[in-house]
Amino acid sequence: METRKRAFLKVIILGDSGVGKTSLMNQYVNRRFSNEYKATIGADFLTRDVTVDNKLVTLQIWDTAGQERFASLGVAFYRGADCCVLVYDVTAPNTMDSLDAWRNEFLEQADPLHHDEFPFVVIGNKTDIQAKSEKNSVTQSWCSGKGNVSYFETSAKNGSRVEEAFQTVAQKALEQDTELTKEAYPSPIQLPQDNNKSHEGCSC
Amino acid sequence: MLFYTYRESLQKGWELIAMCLAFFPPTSQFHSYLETYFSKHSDSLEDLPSVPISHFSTQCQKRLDKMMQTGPKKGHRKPTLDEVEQAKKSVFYPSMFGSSLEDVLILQNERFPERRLPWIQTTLSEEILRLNGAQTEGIFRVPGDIDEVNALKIKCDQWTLPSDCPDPHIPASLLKLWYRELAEPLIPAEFYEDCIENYANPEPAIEVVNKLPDINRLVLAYLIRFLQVFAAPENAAVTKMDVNNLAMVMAPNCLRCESTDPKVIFENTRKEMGFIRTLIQTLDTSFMEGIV
Repeated sequence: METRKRAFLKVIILGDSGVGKTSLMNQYVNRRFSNEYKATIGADFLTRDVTVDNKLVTLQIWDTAGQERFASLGVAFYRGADCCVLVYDVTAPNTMDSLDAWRNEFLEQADPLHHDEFPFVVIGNKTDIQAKSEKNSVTQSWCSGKGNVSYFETSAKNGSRVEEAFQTVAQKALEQDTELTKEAYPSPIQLPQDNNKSHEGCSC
Repeated sequence: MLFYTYRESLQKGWELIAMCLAFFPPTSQFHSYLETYFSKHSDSLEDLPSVPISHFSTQCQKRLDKMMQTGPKKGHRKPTLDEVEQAKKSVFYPSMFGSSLEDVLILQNERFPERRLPWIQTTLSEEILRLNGAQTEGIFRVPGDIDEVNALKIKCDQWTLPSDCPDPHIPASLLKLWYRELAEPLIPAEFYEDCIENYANPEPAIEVVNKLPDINRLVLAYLIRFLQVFAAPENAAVTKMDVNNLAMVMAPNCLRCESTDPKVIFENTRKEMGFIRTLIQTLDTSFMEGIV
């Protein structure tokens, strides 16, 4: 086990501006919360090592500037992501309505192998201000309609459920990574033995 | 469409393509077919007396180019009848969004021959102030409801401004969208490198502004003057949008990095923001007083 290279997992956080993407990442990686109101410049990442299924993996978490949904960061940035976190603000219902657009943006740019199976984690943030999302049931059904999506309500401020949410992110990212490795080296194709046989219609 | 010789059908066929291209892009296979078809019909000698085919094909090609850049229309709601109607009308009455500054001025020339600035720019800016945007937390950062923003866009293209807008974030988002969607960036591409190099040096940064084409210089100076209102400490204390935040959210609407290399994009983002911050802090915009 020691000789095997440690899994390195790329996670991208998306969502409208001001929903708390940077704060979530900071709470998870540094266990800190800052009251400073600061728009993110472009994109930035932090890493944290975490154990999943008794395996140590490194999460590289990319925080992005949310204000310019349509000025995308470019395909190269999204490529190779193993999990995508979509964040909205439980106190601002219209940020939940944007989840679709963010999800589509990600799928378009990253263009993963199987769009419907790609892992997403949806986070409704700021439960310290409002204990439960008004849109809780709407979000739940949105998530269950989109395939591989888990849902958490967190507070980046007091840390509530942040650890759990990212543990799921790591779990899903690792599964995705393992899946991709499998697909990259599929079992060899079995060539038919008698190559000289003439082509007579369909062989099946 | 090739087989329809009946004029009304021909007209409707072109209208339909134009309308579709206002909402979603074609598949990649259909894309090249469309381009060929449009270029084949761009000659005005081919126009029928009642069907301006060449005009349709030019407009459709423009829409196609824009659609390939921006992707399908965002938002939850299906297009409203108003929006569909507008998509048809705008073939002959173009939108203020996605046009060049010159074309925007031509569009408003009949209504506002005296104006030197785009009506849409000053109207939305004033609306934000009227709705107390200068005292609203997260102004220009927090997005307005996307469906409301789309609805306001339609109204503006009809030269009206609803009096019942509930939230300054709506006109603020639309104003950002207008800058961002200009056919050519507000600070044109040939000045981009100058901005990146001089992002922290007031004198050469202001020099870049002075070198801009007249209309770009005026529109940019109006924007910077407007942002200076928000950067004032008494406003920033309430909005939490200090000069750094304002510059951060506005820079992508003024400058467009052409590179596709993520490393270059990241490095330049900081400098683009720095350039706008330098302008907010040092550009003397008093000459804009009274200019509309």
